[in-house]
Amino acid sequence: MAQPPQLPDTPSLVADLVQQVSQLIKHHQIQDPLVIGIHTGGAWLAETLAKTLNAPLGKLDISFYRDDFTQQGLNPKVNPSSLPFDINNRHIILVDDVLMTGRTIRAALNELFDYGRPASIKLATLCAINGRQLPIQADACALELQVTANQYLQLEGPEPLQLTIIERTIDESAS
Amino acid sequence: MNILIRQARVVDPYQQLDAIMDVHIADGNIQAIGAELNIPDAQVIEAKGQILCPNFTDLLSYLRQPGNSQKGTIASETRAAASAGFGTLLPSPDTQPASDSTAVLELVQDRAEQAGYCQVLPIAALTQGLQSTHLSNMLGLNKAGAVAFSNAGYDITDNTVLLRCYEYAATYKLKIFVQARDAALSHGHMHDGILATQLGLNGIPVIAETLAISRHLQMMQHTGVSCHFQQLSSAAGVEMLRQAKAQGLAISADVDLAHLCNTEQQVQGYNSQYHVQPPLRHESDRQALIAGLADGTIDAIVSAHQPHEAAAKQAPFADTATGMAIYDIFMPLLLSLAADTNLSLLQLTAALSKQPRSLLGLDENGLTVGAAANLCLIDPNLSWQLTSTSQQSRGANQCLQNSTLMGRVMLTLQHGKVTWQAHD
Amino acid sequence: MNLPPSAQLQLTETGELRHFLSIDGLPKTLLERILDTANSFVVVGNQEVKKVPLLRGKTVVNLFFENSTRTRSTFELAAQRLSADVLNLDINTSATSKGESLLDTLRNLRAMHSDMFVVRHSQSGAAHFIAQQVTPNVAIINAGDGRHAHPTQAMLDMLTIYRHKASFDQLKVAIVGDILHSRVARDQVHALTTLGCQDVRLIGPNTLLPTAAEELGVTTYNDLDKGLEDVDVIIMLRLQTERMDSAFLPSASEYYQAYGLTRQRLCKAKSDAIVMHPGPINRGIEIESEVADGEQSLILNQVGYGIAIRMAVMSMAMSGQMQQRQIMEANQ
Repeated sequence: MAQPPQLPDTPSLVADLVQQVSQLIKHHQIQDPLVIGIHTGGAWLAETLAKTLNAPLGKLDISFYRDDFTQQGLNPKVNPSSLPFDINNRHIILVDDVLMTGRTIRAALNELFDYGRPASIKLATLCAINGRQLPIQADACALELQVTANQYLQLEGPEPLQLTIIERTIDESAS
Repeated sequence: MNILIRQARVVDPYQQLDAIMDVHIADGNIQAIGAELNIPDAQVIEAKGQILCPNFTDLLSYLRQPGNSQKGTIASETRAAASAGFGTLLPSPDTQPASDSTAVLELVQDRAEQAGYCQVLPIAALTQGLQSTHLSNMLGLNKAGAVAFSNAGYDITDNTVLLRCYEYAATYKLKIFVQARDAALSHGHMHDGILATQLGLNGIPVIAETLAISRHLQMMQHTGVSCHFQQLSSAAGVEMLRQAKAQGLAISADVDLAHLCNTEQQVQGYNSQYHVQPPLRHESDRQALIAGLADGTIDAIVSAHQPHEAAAKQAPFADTATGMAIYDIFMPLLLSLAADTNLSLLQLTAALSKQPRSLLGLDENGLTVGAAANLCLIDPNLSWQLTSTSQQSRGANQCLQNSTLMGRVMLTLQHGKVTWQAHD
Repeated sequence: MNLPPSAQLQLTETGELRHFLSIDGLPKTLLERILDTANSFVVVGNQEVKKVPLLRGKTVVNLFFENSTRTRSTFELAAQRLSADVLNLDINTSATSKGESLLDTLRNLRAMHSDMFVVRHSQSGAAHFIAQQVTPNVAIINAGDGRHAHPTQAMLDMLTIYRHKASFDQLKVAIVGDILHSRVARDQVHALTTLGCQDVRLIGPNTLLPTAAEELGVTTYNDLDKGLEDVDVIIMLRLQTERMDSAFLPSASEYYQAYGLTRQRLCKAKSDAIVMHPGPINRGIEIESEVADGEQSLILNQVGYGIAIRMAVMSMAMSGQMQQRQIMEANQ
């Protein structure tokens, strides 16, 4: 069995992401961004980002927007989305922990557009791995990584945040 | 015809006989019965492991003609009866129009004779059109062949009319057949118990039967009519008749095979094939019916065969027609009853031949030398499939459709003529 | 899987809901999942955007053979909030009795390629019958059949209890009134006993209590005061006025004397007992106005929960039905 690649320590990845997002805002001259994290890992990261950027914080649960609910069934315990602001004509930083297929982001974009029409959306993810199924890329990303078919990444938290590689048993299917 | 049935298990309630025998039949008559017969030129039927018994008499069957030939015809249903081992049938007067005229009785008897499968002895309507208001022409109907009078499943609620029916029947010593059920209490669709509560179906309580029995018993005591109760369904009903018989009343009773074999549990999942009147009841009622048959309280087993077209059973339960087409599965059910209870084959065949015939005063049809051959040969170990091609009845309401069944009638003879022979 | 016959038709091979016909026989875990899912939808209902795209592109037909504007409206709203296309068919039974049988109606509907039927019918077992006839392509939700079942109504009552009371196994629950004719009461009993409730009481006169009710695992009472003693939850049932015409009861006033829920009687229950009623209320027949509008009454909360429960059940059954279709296609 191949040794899993060593990951940089999580706090420095988070710091890197915060740094990249700050630059992104500066570069695009974004005024008064909203930070919106996707449950659950993305929401933890969004909290840190919102604090640093001094921006309003929102959370999304995309369970009701998934395109695979007919295969996977519905997760009964859905955390409610909370967007305590009007998103119309606002600039949004959408935050998730790991970008893989792109389907979660697609669902999140759909849900956001049910709430209104934002001026722009930038995507920030802690980590991006191979396996994209949709034309979606992160605007800010602290770590790009190649993994094998039976590895995936998971952010554990909230205190402390810890990104780990999980080896899955052969039978589990990709989600 | 010259056949030798060899090494059959001969079961004849007329002789209390249950033994392995050879039977020789020629020219329509039973020529000889013996432990081992040697008939040189006879066609031999090797019947080892098979049962040979008198053919059956059915005191209640629905042939549907006239009026409902989409459900069944006299030809199709008498053929189905022959395939179940029956030689004599008493069709219900519940036809359209009802069997309340000599014209209908003649039509029924003519069609049956043309078909040639069974002797058909009609039950005529007790009231005109089974409407429970005017007496039918009982005397004329009796002369036209009616062996008994019944108001079928329709309760005569007016006691004055019912009393007149009994008084008039008593005048001419006519026999009355009763399906004891109180009309108002029988508006439900299944036995009144926990399952009816769970399924949300209106229940039919046991007193629907016992109230009616007690009413008819008093009518017959008052008028002296001889009365036969049909399709008993409850333990309490059996007990009332047991006591009435003990008092010496001239009564008799029957039970249909479905009630001996099934309970209300069959209705689970709204299985409309088991929507019947009277309803299938509790297991304790079924056991009481079996006990009643064993101790002679109940004299006869009937088929209560009721064929229907498919659509009649395809609706929410309460909207479906009542009744079961049972001739095609009659023999497998009867054999399972013999296997699962203390009832012997001798007792069961008595309840299907000797006893129903004697309560009507019909000829004996035992396996006696010199008599016309009225018999059936059964293979209890033959396994077969009931499918739309193997079924004989026109009825689509087959509760065991596509099931594998055990036991089949191989041969039926009525008055020395082959009326059924299984091919395959 | 070893399931009671009443549950087999409702579940997929892997135990997922595919029809929702009756609570009878459904496992506890499934009922809990319905409650949890509905709880999530209650939150959605409080959000600015109340709509989710779970059933986008799916067609839901409200097939009502019996009039019920209230029930139909909540199903319609639930389907719309799940982004389904909704078609309302009110088929009055006189038209079907004019020759077209229920089976013919269904054959016509099958040609529409709908994904879900919400069925209301006056005959017990009608939803069952339809599920047997249209399986495997369409999910059937029972919106009330005869006096048999009304599972979404029962589950919304469970959701009300779930959100306002501690765990089911500690609760004493009284169901009061016309149990005999109530399709909801049967499913409430099944749901309560399955969810662990140890003390369920059915209260009414003998004419309105069903045969052998105790075998359902409940206690029956004729005396309302006794039956209400120390209970946590009181569910009042609606009394149809036609019961007086068919000799079940002498009069509404005598019924109110014996079984009407008054403030005085409410005192027999625990001080924090909650009062529920499926509506519409007959004030002064089943319940005193002051109680119906009082602090302990949750009658209005129930309406909102009804939409959440229906959203939960519709999305779960649709998911199960789609999975079943995939299993069947894979087997072919």
